Parts: sequence; structure tokens; C-alpha cells
Amino acid sequence: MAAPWLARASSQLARRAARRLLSSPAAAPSQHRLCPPGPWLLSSVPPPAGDRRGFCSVRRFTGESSAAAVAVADEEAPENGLVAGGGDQQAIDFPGGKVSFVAEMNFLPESQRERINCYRVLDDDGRTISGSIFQEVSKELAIKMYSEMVTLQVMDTIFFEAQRQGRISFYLTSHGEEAINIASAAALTIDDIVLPQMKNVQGDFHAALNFAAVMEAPVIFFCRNNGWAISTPTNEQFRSDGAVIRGQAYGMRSIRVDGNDALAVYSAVHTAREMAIKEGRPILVEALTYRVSHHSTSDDSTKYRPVDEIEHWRTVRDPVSRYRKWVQGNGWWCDADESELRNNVRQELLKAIQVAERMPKPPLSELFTDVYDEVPSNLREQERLLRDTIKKHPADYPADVHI
Amino acid sequence: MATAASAASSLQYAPHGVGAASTKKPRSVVPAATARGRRGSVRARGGMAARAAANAEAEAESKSGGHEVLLFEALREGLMEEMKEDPTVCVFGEDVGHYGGSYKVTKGLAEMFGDLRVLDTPIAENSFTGMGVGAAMKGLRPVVEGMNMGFLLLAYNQISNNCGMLHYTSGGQYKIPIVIRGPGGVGRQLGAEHSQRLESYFQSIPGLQMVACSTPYNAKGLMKAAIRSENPVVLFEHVLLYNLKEKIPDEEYICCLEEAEMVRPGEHVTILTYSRMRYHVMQAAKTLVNKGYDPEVIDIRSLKPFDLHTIGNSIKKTHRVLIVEECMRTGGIGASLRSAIIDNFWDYLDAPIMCLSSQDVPTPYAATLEDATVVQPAQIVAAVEQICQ
Repeated sequence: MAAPWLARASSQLARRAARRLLSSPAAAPSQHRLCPPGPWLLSSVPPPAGDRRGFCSVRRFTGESSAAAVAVADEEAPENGLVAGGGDQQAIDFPGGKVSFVAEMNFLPESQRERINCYRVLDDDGRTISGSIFQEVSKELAIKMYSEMVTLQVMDTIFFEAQRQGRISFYLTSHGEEAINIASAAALTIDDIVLPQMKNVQGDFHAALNFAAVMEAPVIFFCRNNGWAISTPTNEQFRSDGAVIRGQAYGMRSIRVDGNDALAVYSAVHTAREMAIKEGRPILVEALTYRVSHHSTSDDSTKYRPVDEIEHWRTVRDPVSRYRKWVQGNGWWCDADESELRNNVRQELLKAIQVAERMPKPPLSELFTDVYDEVPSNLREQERLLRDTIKKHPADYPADVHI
Repeated sequence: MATAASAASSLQYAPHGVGAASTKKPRSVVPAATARGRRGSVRARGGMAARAAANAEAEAESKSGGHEVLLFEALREGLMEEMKEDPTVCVFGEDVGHYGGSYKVTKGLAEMFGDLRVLDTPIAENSFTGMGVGAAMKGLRPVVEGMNMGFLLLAYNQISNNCGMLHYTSGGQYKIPIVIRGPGGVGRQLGAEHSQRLESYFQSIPGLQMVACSTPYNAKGLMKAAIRSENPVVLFEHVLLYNLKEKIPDEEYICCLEEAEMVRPGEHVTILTYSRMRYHVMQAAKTLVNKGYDPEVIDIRSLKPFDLHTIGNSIKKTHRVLIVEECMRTGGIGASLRSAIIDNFWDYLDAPIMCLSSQDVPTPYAATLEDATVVQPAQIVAAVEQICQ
């Protein structure tokens, strides 16, 4: 069964396509053939005669000049194809939309004079900045968010240690980025699909933004800009103003937010989600933060950045204590709650590790299952050979793997 | 060795034997009597394939009249039938929607099923293949079209890491019932990058299945089977085979993905081939039969996994194997097939396995050189003569 959002999306597109058709003089409603009902509500609406651009040709630009150009074009269509734009400029109808001509060569600058502003609600001491606009949270939700941030902190400490003790093979911590993890999730519902990626900006990112904008998909692209890709700082990764500036390049709305401000992250994602659903559009959210932790348990970041820089962000700019100050400031939390929480979480996590360590390792058969829906004969044969080998040389294979 | 009498006539098409389609009724190949040869506007090789089909004698067992289709139409029929049956089947690709597809496989489908279900994508194979994987994970059954198989190299990460592995790495929680299809193989002066044999590169990916169609009948049957499969399937079509004509049954049928097709039973040598080379082999078979040989021709169809049952039974009978492929010598389907045969049927071989492949060169643009890089019927004849000494 296709996801429910698809039905909403297709009706968005269907409505837009229908609107476009009905406003076009060539509209011929009698030629519509309706599909059987189902999630595929966009029926076979043939494009207007001569329009080969398909259903995605609806323009999303909101700039005044393009609107003006469109309005003018609809009124007059002189034979030479030129249309009067604003003032003395002429505009011409290239594929993709009308553009005005200009007589001077003006290269767009590689960067704007000022960087895109960053949305924040809480100051460094956890007080709401006066005049700030944000999404209200209930006491229950605020406490839940805080507890989860603490849980994440404790979990990171314990599991990092566990890796150093050889009890797990690898771990990545989120020190300094807890607000991003928790507050963004808090703004979603249980039915929303989250596809997290530990992936620095790659080719897929660009194509995905492009696709989402073209197809008007209700997606939030949440980009966590923590300043580092292992040892590569962001200024060696790209020269643009972070990730937020790319939104407009793909025709997508975007916002930059203080990733260490739980309330700001929550508000931004909450609003982005509403926009995505109601308007059927993707939104790009860039959360600025600092990667306090090493990249992973395989990394020692003191090798490529100053220790006092790390310390500064770990202490003064810690998102967890900043948010705690706000929660406490509302009278919703106290020191007793804090020690009780940290204690309980620690016990829970240690117990979880013990339970997990006692669980049996997966049996040999699981090496071959789920490659396909059913184990095919060639894999059965390979399994048989492996079992034979283990039987003949048991000392060469781990004892705790169930044959 | 001399079986001249029966051989003199023409190619025999067996009723679909060992690799029987999993349908209710037995099928027969009723090849095109009205092949393109009659129309006159036939290019050399296309015409040869068509003439080969036209010259075959049919053992007509078809229960009803059947209808003639071109191979690309057969693919479309299969796709359309599955889309009508199952609302989760959808198509993604470049120009598949209103344009109807570069090879017209999706012609008319956007009008029938809507713009979202036959979706035109921007030019980013890695991304729309990834989109197909995501759609499959959420319960749809996408058919992703690569305009040319070569372009899917850009989607290799998605095909290998996601299509192939997600079922496994998710512990069986996600299934990826995706079909990835498109035309590949050496065409007519399409240039090196558009003449690739991707089955070579994909064959190692765990979790993937690969099939190659070669006739309108198996094209439709394999398309349907691939769509219905819960596993990711790559369906290889060939640029030069889209206009093959054949009469196919009116009744619904599907082909088994894992089965090879017995094209011509014989006693002297097992010739294993697939896709376009099937027609070069059958052309050579005519000559061979005239010279007194009795080759058994099997279109392996299933490139991953191999149908070692059908292949094995044949080798146990003939004891000699010739593989004819379009892949390059190194690392192609032929190389793997040879290896699998040695592993499994060494005791039955009376001669070393021969394999005719393309050279390890990019496909040249010059037509004469391009011809020289593809295995030709004369080479096949010579190889059989050598093997049967």
C-alpha cells in the first residue's frame, strides 16, 4: 500500500495540473480520461497542445519580475516573439521561462556580501531572546526532549568507553550535537520516515535536492553542518556559504538555524514540516554546530585542530546545558531530577550492554539467508561446503558461532 | 556425425522443452513468417536475425491464434499487464512518460496510468535508481529504465549497495522488488560508451538476479516474471533486437527467471549463448547442419544464477561446450560460465570448453572494426569444427 503522503502529493499535482489546463485556452476537458481511483490520483491529463514540458512545468518562482513577465506575455504576443518586460527592457521566451535582457555584463558575485542569517531563540545562557518567534512546547515535551538529550550524552560516553575496552568494534558520538538529533526528531511524528545518513555532502545530495524540487516532494533535507568531514574543515569542502545557500539554486526554500539551540531546531523543523505537507514542497534546513567529538573511535581530532577550541565548544557552547537552563528556568526541572535521570539512564544502558553481550551470535545459516527471498541452490551449495570445512577444522573457527 | 537428411531443411525450433515456461499451457515458437526480410528495408544484421527466424519451421502447438508483436511491443505488453494487475507497479526513467521511451517500450503508458506512475526523471541515474530503491522499500514495485545500460554505471552504487544488499543488511526487513532494465550490447556505431555489456560488471553483486531476453516471447515473459519477483532483477535487452517480430500467445504467460531456453536440441556440441548472439549462433547452426553437425543450442537467458540443470543435462549428452557471448574476454559471463561448468561437469567433458567473446577493447566507432569485435557466425562454425575434431 503506497504511503498516505503520496495521495496528498498527487492531489497537489492533480490540482495544479488541472488549474493549468483550465486556464489554458486550449483546454479540452472532454478529453480527460480518468484513472481508476487509488493512490495515483494524477490521471491522464494530456498536456496542452504544443506544450511538451509535462506536468512539472508549473513555475515556482515567486520573484516579481517573472510574475510581471508572465502577466505581460499573456496579454500581448507580438509576432517577433519579443515581449515588453519592465521599463525599457525586452524579454524573450526561452525554454524555462521569460527572461529580461540587460545591456551590461553583470557577473553575479560568487558570494553575497553577508552570510545568510542564522535563526536562534535561546541565548548562550538558555534564556529566550526577547522578540524571538518560536514553536511553543509543553512541559511534558520539553522534559522529554531534555531527557533524551541527556540519554544520548550518557550513551555516547558509555559506548565510546565500551569500544575502547574492545566490547564493540566501532562507535560514533554526537557530542555537541545532541540538540540536532533530539529536537529535529521531536518535531516529527511517528509516521514520518527519517532516513539518516552519516554522509558528507556528495553528488547524491545535489541530485536529490533537484529531484525533490522538480517533483514537489514533501521532504525535509536536514543538513547538519558541524564544520568537519573527519579532518577536512568546511572551507576545504566547499566555497559557498554553507549548505543553506544551495536551496535557492535548486528552487527550494531553505533556512539556517543554530544547531545548538534545541528550541530553534524544534521550531524550524516543525514549521518546515508543515510547509512540506501543506504546500507539497521540499525544504532545506541547515543546522550549524560544532563537532565536539572525534569523527569516530578511529579518529583523534586533536591531531588536526586545537584542543582549546574543542574545549570551548564542549563547555561554553554545550547545547544540553543551554537547553537545561531554559527548562529549569521554566520551573520544570531541578538538580535532583538531573542526578536521578543520569543515574537511571546509566544503569539502563549498562544493563542493556550486559543483555546484548549475553545474546548468542547469529548462526551460520544467517550468512546465506536474506541474500534473496529464498536461499537459491548455489548458495545452499556454498553453505554445505562451509559447514564441511568447519567440521573438518573446528579449531580454526570461532567456538561461539552456532553451526 | 552425419545427419544430413533432417538437417538439410532448416533450423528446428523445439517446443519449449527443458526450460519450460511456468505457464498453464505448453508454448511453441511460431517465428515470424512475415519477417522484416520481406519488407526489403533491412540492414545487414537485423535482416539476418529476421531471416533466421523466418526460415525456421514452426511446430505449431499454439492453442489459439496468438498475435504478432515486435520485441519492444512484447515488453510493453508485459509491463502494461502487470501495471493493470498491480497498482504498485510503476516506471521511472528518462523520457519514459509522454515521450513514450527512447525505444517505445513505455509508449502510451503515461496516458493510461498517469504522470506519477510513469515518471519522467531528471538526468541523474544514480538518483532515480536510488529513488526506485526507496520506493521499493516502501512497498512499490518500480521498473527503472536506463536509456542505455551503459548509463547505469552511474547508478552502480545504488545497484550494488542498495538493490543488492539492503534485503540482507536489513535482516530481511526491507525487500527490493525492483526491475532495472534497458538496452545494452553492441549496436550500430553507437560508440564505446554506448555499446557496453554491463552483465559483466553486475554479475558479482550478491542479491541481484540477472536475465537477458532475446525473443518477443521471452521478453514479455521475463518482464512479467521480473516484476513479480521479490528480488531485484536486472533485465538486459539488446539495442538491435527491439524490432524482432514473433507471434506470441494471446493467453497470459510468464517465463521462469532462472531457466534457460532450449533453442535447438542436438547431439554433438552444446552451444551456450544469450541475447543477440543467439541469432549469430542460429545462423552458424544452419551452416553447421549443412556440414553435417548437430549442435544443441541453449539460450541461457538467466545470467545470474546460471541454469546449471539445463546446461548440465546438455553437457552430459554432448560432452563438448562452446560459449558464444558478446561480453569481453576478461571477466565476462563466458568466463564465469566456463568456471561453473568446470566446477560441476568436469567429468563429462571430452574437450576443453571453448569460449568466443569480444576482445578486451572499447567498442570502436568505425563500422568495420565494430564488426570485427563482435563474434560472427563464421567464427562460430570454425569453433564447432575445431571442438568436434
